[in-house]
Amino acid sequence: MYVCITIQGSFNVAYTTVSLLVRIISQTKWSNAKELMDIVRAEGKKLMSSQPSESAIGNMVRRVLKIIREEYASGLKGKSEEGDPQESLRNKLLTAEGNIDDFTRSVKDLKATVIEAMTELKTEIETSVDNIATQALEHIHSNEVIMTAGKSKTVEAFLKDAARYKRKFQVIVVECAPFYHGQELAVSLAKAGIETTVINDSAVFAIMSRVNKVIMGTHTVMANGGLKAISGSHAIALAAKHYSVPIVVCAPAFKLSPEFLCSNDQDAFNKFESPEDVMRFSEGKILSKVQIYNPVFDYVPPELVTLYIFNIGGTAPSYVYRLLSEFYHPDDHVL
Amino acid sequence: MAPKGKSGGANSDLKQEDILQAVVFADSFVSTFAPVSDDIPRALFPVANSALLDYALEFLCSGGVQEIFVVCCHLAGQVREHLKNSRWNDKSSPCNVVPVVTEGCLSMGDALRDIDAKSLIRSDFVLIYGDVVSNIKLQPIIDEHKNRREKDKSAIMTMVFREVPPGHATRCPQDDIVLAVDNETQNVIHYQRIADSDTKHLQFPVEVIMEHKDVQIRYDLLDANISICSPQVPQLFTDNFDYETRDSFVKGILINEEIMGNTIKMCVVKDAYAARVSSLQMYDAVSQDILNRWTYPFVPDGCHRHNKDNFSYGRHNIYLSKNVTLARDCMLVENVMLGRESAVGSKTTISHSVIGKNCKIGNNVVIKGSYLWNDVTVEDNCVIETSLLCNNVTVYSGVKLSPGCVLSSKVCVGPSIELKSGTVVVHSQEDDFGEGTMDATDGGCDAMFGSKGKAFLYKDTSGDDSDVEEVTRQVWGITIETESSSDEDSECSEGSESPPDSLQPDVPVYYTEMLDTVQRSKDENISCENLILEINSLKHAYNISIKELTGLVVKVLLDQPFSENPSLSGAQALKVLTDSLKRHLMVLKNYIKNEESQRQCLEAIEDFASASSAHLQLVTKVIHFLYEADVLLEQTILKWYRQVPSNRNRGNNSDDEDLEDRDNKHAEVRKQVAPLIKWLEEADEESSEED
Repeated sequence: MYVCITIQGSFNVAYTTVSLLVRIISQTKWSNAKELMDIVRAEGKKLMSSQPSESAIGNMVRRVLKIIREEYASGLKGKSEEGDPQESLRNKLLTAEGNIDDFTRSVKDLKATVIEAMTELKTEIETSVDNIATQALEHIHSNEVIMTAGKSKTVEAFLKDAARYKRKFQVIVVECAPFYHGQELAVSLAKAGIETTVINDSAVFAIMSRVNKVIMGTHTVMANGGLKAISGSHAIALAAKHYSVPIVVCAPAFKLSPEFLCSNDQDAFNKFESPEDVMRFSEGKILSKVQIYNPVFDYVPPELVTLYIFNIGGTAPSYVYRLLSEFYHPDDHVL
Repeated sequence: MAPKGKSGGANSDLKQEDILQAVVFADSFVSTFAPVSDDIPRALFPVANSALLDYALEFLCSGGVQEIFVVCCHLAGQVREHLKNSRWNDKSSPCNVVPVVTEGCLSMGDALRDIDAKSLIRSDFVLIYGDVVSNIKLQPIIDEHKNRREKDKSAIMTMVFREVPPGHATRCPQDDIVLAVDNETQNVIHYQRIADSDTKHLQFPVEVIMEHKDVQIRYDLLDANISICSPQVPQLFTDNFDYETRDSFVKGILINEEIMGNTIKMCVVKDAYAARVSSLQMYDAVSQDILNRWTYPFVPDGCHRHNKDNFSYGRHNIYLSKNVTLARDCMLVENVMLGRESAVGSKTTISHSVIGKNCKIGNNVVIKGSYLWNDVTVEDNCVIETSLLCNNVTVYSGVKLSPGCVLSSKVCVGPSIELKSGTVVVHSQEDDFGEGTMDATDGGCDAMFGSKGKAFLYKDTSGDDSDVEEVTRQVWGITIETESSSDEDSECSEGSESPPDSLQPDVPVYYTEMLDTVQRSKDENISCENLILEINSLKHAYNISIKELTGLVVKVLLDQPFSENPSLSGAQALKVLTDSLKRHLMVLKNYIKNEESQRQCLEAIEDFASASSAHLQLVTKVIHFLYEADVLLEQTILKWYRQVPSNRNRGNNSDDEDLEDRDNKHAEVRKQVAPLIKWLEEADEESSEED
């Protein structure tokens, strides 16, 4: 459970969390679904406390809990609880009512089915980036100017996939000081034969007027459809709003979190790293006289986002709540 | 249970025997932190509410170290207990932490010899002290070390430094180092701790420059004492029992580089944090650096906390634990940390401070730049500035602690008193006869600590002088300086003056010493050769330059008969003096050779003559005697005579009046010598006529 110290990136975190939970489920002793859920919940809490800013861990724990619920219900009734999403609300309520309280009954092959479903989940995580990338041609058109910020694996794959089909477009990369991940992305894109320009963070507004589309990655998609993305994103989103440039956010489904931004004090949900990147430690005496902050994230409100591209397709921010109820059980929102 | 991370996993699968080990010294073997460290080992000091040792272990663990030996000496039981209750003892712990109790070790060398005797080290290992706080990424440095070792077996150690320019707050004068590095090979050629040399001058061996083409000399490095060592290092400690510390080891290796062929490499880290809590000043600096998040990810709200204290991080670097009670109108300004279940009263202002668990702070209190450990009570209307309050301290109402106070555990002070800057207070004290300890609870404590006070002024029992002032300066010293710049200036000027001061007194001491020697040589009839030897050895012992020496020798030889018998005068004096000079002629000839030394001899005679009128009468005879004995040459005497006395004033710190006085005396001397000079000139003319 000390993985998070060494594992970087939401994708790795999500994948490792599921792998770990598979091991826990297969190796610990439990007799029924309730016990299993308690175990998963307890381990999940530990994992989350070890890295509070990685929401992907909590998301995956909730997904696994949902899987256990579903498999339990289907094992019990011999049919899937999930059914078809178009199912009537009344019907759904009725079926849900039957098995919400009692998870203590033993179900045959619960372990096997749960692990099988989790393997599917792992496959989903693995293929999520590809699934998003394949939608690229629908969003990137010929001779468009696209702006992106920082370095997101998903966006990188998305853009490269469009370039693979010989679509001509230009990319402007915001470097995102002080981490300068944008520069890495620009190098990678240029190598793939995409016409790339790097700009500094302060030039965003000046350049925005000639941009056709902003395509960004994110760290987390919040429950209200807002974003927890790399710092500087909010400024880009506001500039895009000013010029009515659509903002497209590429995010794998495991980044979808049932968390809300509780207060306007961003410090609570933000992550502050060492000030080293902002001002060098060797600057000397002045350091004891100044406060240096190096926040990693920015909150972008949902009204600034035009479209989400999940691995399951494009979604408007206002529809995120629906996906949430599809992925997570309401009882699991608070672990 | 821990899944394989990026680090370690793959390596250990390939080579099972090649796990990375580390040795941590949970003891510093020095008493910089006395009296605080008397009942709690330094490694367990809470720094930002977490034991210092845990930072070191976290740092090693994140660097992929899988087995850590924690060497415990001083208060070993506490360290073991801590490790037992920590997450390092969990089954899920990512690395194996083994406490190694080596009681009776007095130095790091002893401890390493013990490690070697137990043959715990199997491969390259990391060697650090338990008071290191760092977030350096060890993996690349270790890899580099191993790669280098594969090519060159002699590179036995890599020292890791952090680039910190002079004047930085996280730099402590005691730890200042200068080192010379060969640019080509990155070999450390010279390593020197500045605090060790008592002067402001640094001496470099010439070989440093002569034998290496491309050398860089660096003063901008902070030595956090992190080193990657090969398994030979403990063996070398065993072979050389005189290696006590890492410094002496490094010195030994560098000196024997030619013979043994072992080299030490260096690695300078520019973008990560590393520091050692080596003094209270560094304790302060490191704590503030942690609050400022330089040590990320090892910050109070970071993932490494497993002590059930989840700190939440807020604006202005405010860290709050769970169940903290804050009055509505209290002010937490910036860089503040409050531990579990602490309470802060109304209208209280706290800034740049760390408050431990279960502390109660009253109303109208001002706490600035201070460190309160666990279970501290501060009553209303107190002012606490730049002080350290250890566990279970009680400060009654209305107490003012000036910067630099240290209250060690269980101390109670107040009410309504003021402790002056740099006071170190302890709870119990060894009484003056060294028979058992007096406890403050028995009463009989100093009145200066208030009516409810249970405290004693700390006296350093280990040192020979119990000068409290000095001790406190050692403890907090420079932190007080950084607080107010005026203080700093005065300290600085003091510092720059002191080295010449320390040299100056040697001359009079040397003079009396030599006088004694000459006296003894006369009494015991020691031969001149031996006397010369003794004088030479004295010269080395007191660091006297050869220039000064000549004058001193002459002065001593002239003064000696008079110091023996002060009432000597007239013809008797002359007889004794010439006897003495005759006896010591060889000594004089040994030192007086060239013109320069002759001139010094004459000056010494002049000084001697101006001391009293009795001496004045002797001066002609003395010079004549020396001329006859071929010690002084004619030209030199004449030259000296013609010289204007004030010209050769050596810039001594005498006033004008003094100078005038001396000039007068010198004129008198010249008057006295005039007949001799005349005779000399005539003799000169005669001889030239003869030619």
